Amino acid sequence: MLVAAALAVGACGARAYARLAAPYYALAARAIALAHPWQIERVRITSQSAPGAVLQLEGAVRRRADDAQPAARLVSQLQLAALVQSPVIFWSVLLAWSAPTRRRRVTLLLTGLPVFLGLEAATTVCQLLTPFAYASAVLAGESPTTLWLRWSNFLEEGGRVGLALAAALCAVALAAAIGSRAAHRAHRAQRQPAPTSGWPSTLAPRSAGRERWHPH
Amino acid sequence: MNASPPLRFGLIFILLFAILAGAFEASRGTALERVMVVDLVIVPTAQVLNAITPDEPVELHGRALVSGAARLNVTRGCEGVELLLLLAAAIGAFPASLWHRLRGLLLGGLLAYALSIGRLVALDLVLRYAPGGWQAMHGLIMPLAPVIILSCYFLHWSGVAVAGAGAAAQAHQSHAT
Repeated sequence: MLVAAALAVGACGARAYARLAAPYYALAARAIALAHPWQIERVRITSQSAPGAVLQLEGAVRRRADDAQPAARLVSQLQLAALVQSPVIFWSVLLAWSAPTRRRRVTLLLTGLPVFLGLEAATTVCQLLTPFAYASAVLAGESPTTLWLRWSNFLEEGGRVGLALAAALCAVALAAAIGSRAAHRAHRAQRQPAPTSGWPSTLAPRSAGRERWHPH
Repeated sequence: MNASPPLRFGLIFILLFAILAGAFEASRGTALERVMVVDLVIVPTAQVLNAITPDEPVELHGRALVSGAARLNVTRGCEGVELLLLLAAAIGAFPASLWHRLRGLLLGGLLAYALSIGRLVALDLVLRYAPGGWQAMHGLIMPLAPVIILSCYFLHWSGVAVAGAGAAAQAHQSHAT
């Protein structure tokens, strides 16, 4: 049920998600480009109808970082429908994962946020930057089969799905570790005399155990 | 420090998948890859399509399924091999007996194979009869729906593995007492 809903939201909300995520893609692409002779100009969504629309990253590649003029101008693109694969898988796993309390659920979702941003940089942003690496290799007279291209091929061959699943499980483990530590701290605080200022006991996690291994 | 079960599973899963995907990528252009992709996936897909739509026969042009004006190119990521690799990595990463793993891989492999062919058949039919839905089907629904079905199979398989291990431990305990 949740998965069907996630797929429907993914199919219908691809454009809205891409619009929301585009500034982050641009930011992450610019951060990665700092280490290369690449210039990221803008990330935009084409104005076609939703299913056929693509996310485009426009920029330039120089032979050397100190060159005044770019050697090539590039536009790389990804289908919006393909773009939402990672978020659909990642957030579906986190939402389906059992959490004993609402507090644990919120911890899980908040912990998932930085993991998800890393996942998006490793998948979507890297795929958008692959043509830039290709152009750099060609301009340098090197083999165009760069690590970027191999990574992009890996993502296309199911790696995007595999990484999203693994990242979701990492977020689950991280949230469980945070929850266990908070419960341990609360348990120790209960055994010691109550401090004059601190968390009321009602806010302590109800169980100190780790998250259940299986999702619902 | 002991990694928690989800983290350990996630790390072993992605490592195994990377190894398997790398091995498959290394086989590109070889006879093995041709057998796995063309002979075992694309040719049976064309046969299924011809059985479903005999009035509009499908021809195989290299790695493309061509029928009338529609041409479905079966490229990297559409071949369905990744479904089998994902399942194999998941089964390899989950703690279970060798026998249970082999059984899971065999049944799951058959399911992954059927899903691969079903996905290509569905994509070809969408391309021919409902091209308006192509982008959503090709970009999101068709890559993820088989993964979701395989995930359900894996969850069932892992549940049986955990129950089997629990029953074995109980039997061992009652023998000891």
